[in-house]
Amino acid sequence: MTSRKKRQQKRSKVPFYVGGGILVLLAIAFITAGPNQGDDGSSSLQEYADVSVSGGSLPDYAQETADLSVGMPMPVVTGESFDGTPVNITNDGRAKVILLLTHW
Amino acid sequence: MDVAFADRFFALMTLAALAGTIGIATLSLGGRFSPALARWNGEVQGVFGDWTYWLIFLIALVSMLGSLYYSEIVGYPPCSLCWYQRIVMFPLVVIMGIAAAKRDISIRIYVLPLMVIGALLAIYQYIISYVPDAEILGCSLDVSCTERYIWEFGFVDFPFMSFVGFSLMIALMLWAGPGEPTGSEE
Repeated sequence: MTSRKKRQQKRSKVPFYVGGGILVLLAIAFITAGPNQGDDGSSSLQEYADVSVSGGSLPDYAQETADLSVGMPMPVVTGESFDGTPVNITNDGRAKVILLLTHW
Repeated sequence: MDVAFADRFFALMTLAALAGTIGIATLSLGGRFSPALARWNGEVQGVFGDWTYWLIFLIALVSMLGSLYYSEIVGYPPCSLCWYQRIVMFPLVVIMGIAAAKRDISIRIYVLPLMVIGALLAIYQYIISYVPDAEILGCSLDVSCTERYIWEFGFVDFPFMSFVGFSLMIALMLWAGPGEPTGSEE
């Protein structure tokens, strides 16, 4: 058998090699990737959730005058924590600081 | 499809593609200095000859489907740099599909610049995810270019996947070469 024929025989098997390789990778991924679990084990936690704000906005604070929002009811913020636990920031008589963070 | 499974599968595909890129580079470059490697290179080129363009088409197709899966099904918003990479990757599916079917080696000069642009954008995005101060192209404030939506094996994220995909396509395209067209023996 000439080397050219051998080469053609091998060539006809290339799709099977590629397909087999993909199947092997699928199997490895299936075995090694836990359900909803990433490398750090934290991917079962949600990264974000919907937040709703009800109630009127407080007036802008102009530093030259007294803060007009003092004594006014704050808007109510409802949402979820990372594990899905409901979080409500309401007027319960205690002072609160809401800090909004992001990164680029 | 479970996201963790998809993350792992695409990361494994990336590693396989990386191995392929290194292998092709070793055979091609090493073949210039080592007769044994040159012989190997010729053998492997001979086996893959007809299929090289189809492999490039497959890489572009898997990249496009993976990208669409993460944006349209999982819901990750594509950043501006991701969009630029998509702009060069998505047309390659159609172009390479036609080129492979028609066995058209003249396509090389048209697609290589696209692949190089995609690879450069991907490596730039990968670098700025490590060194945010190196960012010179503005990204949208709405969607971060440096946020890692996927992080497998401690180094595989979307820009890395993109870079490896483009690199393998470039390597295969150069490897097929004008003297080794697909279907040349028919």
